[in-house]
Amino acid sequence: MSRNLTERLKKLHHQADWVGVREVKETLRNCIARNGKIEQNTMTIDHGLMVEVLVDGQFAYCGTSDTSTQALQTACDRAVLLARHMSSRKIFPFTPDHRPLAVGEYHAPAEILLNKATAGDVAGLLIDATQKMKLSDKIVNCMAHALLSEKESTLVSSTGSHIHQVFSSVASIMSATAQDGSEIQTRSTGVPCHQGGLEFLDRAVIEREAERVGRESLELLTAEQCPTGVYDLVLAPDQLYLQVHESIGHPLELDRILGDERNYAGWSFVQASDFGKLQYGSPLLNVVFDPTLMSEYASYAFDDTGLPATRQYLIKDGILLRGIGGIDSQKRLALPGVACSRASSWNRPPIDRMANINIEPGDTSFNEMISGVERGIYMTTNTSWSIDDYRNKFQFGCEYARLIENGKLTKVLRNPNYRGTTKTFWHNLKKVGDASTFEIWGSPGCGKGEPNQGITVGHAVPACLFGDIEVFGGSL
Amino acid sequence: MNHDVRQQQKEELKALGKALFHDLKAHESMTLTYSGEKSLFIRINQTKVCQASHIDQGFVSMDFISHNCHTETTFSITGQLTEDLKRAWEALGNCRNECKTLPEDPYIVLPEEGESSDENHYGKLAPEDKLADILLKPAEPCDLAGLYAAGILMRASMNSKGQFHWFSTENFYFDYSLYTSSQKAIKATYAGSEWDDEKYTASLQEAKRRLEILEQHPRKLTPGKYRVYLAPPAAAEFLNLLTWSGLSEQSLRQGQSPLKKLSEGEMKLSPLFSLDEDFHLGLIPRFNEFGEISPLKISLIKEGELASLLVNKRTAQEYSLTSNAANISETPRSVKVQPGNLKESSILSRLGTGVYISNLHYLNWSDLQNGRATGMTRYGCFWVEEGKIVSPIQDMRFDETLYNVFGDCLEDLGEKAELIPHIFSYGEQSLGGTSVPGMLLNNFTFTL
Ligand SMILES: [Zn+2]
Repeated sequence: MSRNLTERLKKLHHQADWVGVREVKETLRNCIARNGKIEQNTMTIDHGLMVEVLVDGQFAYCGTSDTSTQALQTACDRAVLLARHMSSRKIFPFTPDHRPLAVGEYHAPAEILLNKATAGDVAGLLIDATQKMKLSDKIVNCMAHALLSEKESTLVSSTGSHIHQVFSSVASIMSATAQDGSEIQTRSTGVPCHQGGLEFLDRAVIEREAERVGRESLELLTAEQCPTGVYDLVLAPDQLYLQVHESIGHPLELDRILGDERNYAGWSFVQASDFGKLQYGSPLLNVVFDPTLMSEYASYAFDDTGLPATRQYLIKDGILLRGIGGIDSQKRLALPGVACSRASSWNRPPIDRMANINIEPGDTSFNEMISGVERGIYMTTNTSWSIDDYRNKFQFGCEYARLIENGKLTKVLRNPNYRGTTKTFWHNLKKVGDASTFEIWGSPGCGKGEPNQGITVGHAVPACLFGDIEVFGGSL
Repeated sequence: MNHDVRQQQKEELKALGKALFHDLKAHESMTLTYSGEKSLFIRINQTKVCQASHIDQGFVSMDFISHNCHTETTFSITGQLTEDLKRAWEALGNCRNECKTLPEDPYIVLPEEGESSDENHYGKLAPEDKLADILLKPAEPCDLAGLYAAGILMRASMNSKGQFHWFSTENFYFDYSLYTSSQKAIKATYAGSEWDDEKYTASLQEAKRRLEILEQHPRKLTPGKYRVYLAPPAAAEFLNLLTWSGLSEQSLRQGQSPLKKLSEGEMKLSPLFSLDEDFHLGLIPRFNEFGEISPLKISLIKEGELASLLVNKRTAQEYSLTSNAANISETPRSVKVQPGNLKESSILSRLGTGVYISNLHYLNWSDLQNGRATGMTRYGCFWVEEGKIVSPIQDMRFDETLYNVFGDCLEDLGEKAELIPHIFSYGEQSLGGTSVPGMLLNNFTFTL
């Protein structure tokens, strides 16, 4: 990383009304073990600069993996020219006020630094995990995968902004595939992902989880097919987080509401006039944008335009209050938003992204939730997801389910799926789990934007109960 | 000038490789893979410029083997040899250190001597200073959203046994959609290597013509089984899902293939359906991460039966098979579906009463083992009665098996295939495309 990016920016010759430079360096380890052997070990060292300029009310960008002084000047010149060429057809007249001055630091807490483990240490742990999973000859494939990232980002501007943020994060997945004749079932841990260090690759936890997915993959081989019908549905946090992501997070993004994403990721059924009015779900639903929750995957202190990140209610008591949009979308829509303009790396401009979108815990324990259900299904661990471009009609599949009969969890069910429409679904929210059911999840690769960007998001949610949901199983 | 940029990059890589390979010990070997681009992206909304960016990037992946240990370090490069050598030595140091701690890799693929290749495609892009007008003026007064991407894409592979492959291309695409006041949309893509105002205007005219039909009130369909026509972009969406893991030997062996029942002969696809990996399309390099050159054509599905799966060298080692020069992920890079007999002019009459589906969206497996997938209709989809378009439809969710779509329900394929370019740009612009005709289906299941 540059020793003094501000000095480098000051030395640039330019005729822009405002200039920002964002330097990003990420070191990413990707390690996969399969069936007791190493499958892949890769390290990626990605380093580059993005220059952002404002000329005649138009922002333009130039990113380069050449971090030299000459390349920085060239990038600045090209961005200025590009802004000038595009400004006659700008979508909004931006001013330097749209990049307010900000100075600050963020360090993601890591108890055990990632560099304390060698490639061999990580590989060894994952190889052992795949061996723990193999509880029977019926388990035909065992996989363990870890993703360890250290990322440093510096943002400086011609108006004196200086933001330095350091992130350390760990994501993993383990899965066991069992086969008996023509029946094949896969059970996994989902993808636990956190900001932090090697404490999130704890050997005892990994081994316990490895055994569990092995055992549950075998249970699924003999499980009954998930029934078809309308049921009460209890979703575990490792499924509900994605339901939140797809049917609350994305539709609330202001760039979708503005139509920027219409040609790729899609639009939203939410309209600008809905904020402050729309009853999005049952009064039990409270959703926050919270980049401050310790160890959640997408925590930070400033977004990539320099806005300080704070916790905000998006939905309170079921009413839609605020959208997920950074400063550019806020100005274009004249609506409040959150600090969420983020870029996947140095080679993409920032766009509206989710960061951490969480459901606040309620007051129902897991046992109370189940005991209140006469005829229902409890589903865990997402395996399939699909939703339309307005974020209305969704369908999800899970790995593992249990039948709920007269207030008790009974038989294991395979191939559980459910479908519905967003607002009806959230209006059918009947119970919200208490803090003991609250879990931190997220995803390493939420995709949107043109050009495309995959980015980390965090979702911390409790278990929740929904009434009258259309449930079904696999093909017969 | 563009010629110089590419030559310069190619020579720099050769010099980088030479220095690194020279430093290798007897028990070490190396393959370097390069991917770089000089891209311009212009993002449009409401027929105005939303975001514009130049991206100049290059990445080298160093695949390193020491004795029987194997690791890989990827690093961004600048194009300046002195700086890149510094980064490369660091990467080599990292690889050597990692190999000291890693266990042996039983399926190691050693670099081999082999033929080298050098393939370059040249284009003529629209000038940046006039681009905003070139793209937007002919679209007015329509509401247009989209992405214009243009530039030079480069790929290379070289190894310590002296092999060197180079591929470069210069092209553009304008992937866009036009909207009615009630926000129904038509999607179109104008792509190529030489910008032509007339061709672009023709693409816009056709999209505008189709947009008019969308102005009518959309019909709400009830779930159930329908006759449908999947236009080529919709058929390509289904194929992308199928080919993501469906034609991979390793995913079949690991229990993750939607085509398991086809491979075991338990299920069949339609004799009308044949699918090849076909590099005659010339969109993407034939060399893979191991430096192998793929055959020009591999028959994957022939008349409804599995002809072969994609096998890379690593999978070949693990299961004692022969590689067919598949890439590391065993996904086809240049898919071509054989056309059928459905004439362009008789699509609606052959469809009769049913749904004309222009695009599909957000496909995912709802039951992988049985090849069942769900997804949504998107953009211009129409209700057709007795061969005439009646109205647009409200978007519908489907849930249907590939054994129906490419099997029992397949009545015919279009007589002309359309080339659908791969326009993903996660991390970098993708190369390649899918050549696919439209598909006429009966009993297609909508569920929501
Ligand atoms: Zn997403």
